[in-house]
Amino acid sequence: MTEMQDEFLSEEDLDLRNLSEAELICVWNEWLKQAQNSNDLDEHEYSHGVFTREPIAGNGLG
Amino acid sequence: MNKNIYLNLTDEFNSGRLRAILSGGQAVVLHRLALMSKDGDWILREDEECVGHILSTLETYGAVYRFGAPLDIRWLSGGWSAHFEFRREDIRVRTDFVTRPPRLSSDRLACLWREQEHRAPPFLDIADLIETKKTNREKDYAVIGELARLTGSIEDKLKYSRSARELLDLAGRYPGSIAEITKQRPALAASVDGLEALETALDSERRRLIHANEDRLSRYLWAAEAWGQAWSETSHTIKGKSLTMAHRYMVERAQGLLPTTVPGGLP
Repeated sequence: MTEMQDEFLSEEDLDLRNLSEAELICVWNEWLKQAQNSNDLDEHEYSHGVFTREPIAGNGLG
Repeated sequence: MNKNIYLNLTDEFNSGRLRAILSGGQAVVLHRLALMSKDGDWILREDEECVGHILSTLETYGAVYRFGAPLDIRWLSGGWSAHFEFRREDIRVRTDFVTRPPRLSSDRLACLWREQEHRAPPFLDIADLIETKKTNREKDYAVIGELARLTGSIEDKLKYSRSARELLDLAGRYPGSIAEITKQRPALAASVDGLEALETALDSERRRLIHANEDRLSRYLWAAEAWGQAWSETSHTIKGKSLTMAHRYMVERAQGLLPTTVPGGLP
């Protein structure tokens, strides 16, 4: 019987380890292109730094 | 040239001297862990030449300011972040900058600049990346869990692992180390009470870290209230201007509206 272990990310995510540098850049660029689909959803949001959202006009920080 | 926008930018930011260390989600990619962020995040050297070079590089890409602090060391040294955006082919490229990343001490930062001096590309190592990932977002703790598995030393695994099973295994094999690391990471004390107790302690630790980051961010949000109120007018004024001109206006406007320091803001 296989012992259980704690899982944090999927096997698919962790596949990057086996890629050559050229393959990694190719997969990375393709992922970035596909991820543009959510641009409208996070237009006013921040993923880094000390700001969380752009201010809503006239109402200060959203 | 590389053929990835974030690697290309990192090269250009560091042309002639080390100025910018890639962090955040793109550093996670370079650790071969996961693709999970669309945006680029860099730690900059806190000097005038550096911010001048970053601004002129961004200008060549047609970048514009997003809401944020001016890219000026008076604000950056107070822990503020500056944010830009431009389009490259089909990609919306966002570039985010700090000089005082959260949870990295000034001593650690000084070491970091020495360690990264000849690295190409420069990007945060695992322990520092883990510290910056202790945010208020649940998904970052999954990344920390995997990053901790990549650490080489037993001490770092004990400091950063989010797996109760793996920590219990290490506790059994390295009792001296766990006693020492428990002084820095109190959650490990629960390892003597078994799996469920340690899982509960790790959950509680995660929630405490999330709340601590929320508290830190709320101080900046409060301090940015007046700047936020003025943003609609500010962004209208800088629209269509070169980044150099927009930057001058941002600095002029931020004086008096955005305090350079925020009590309790820095780590």
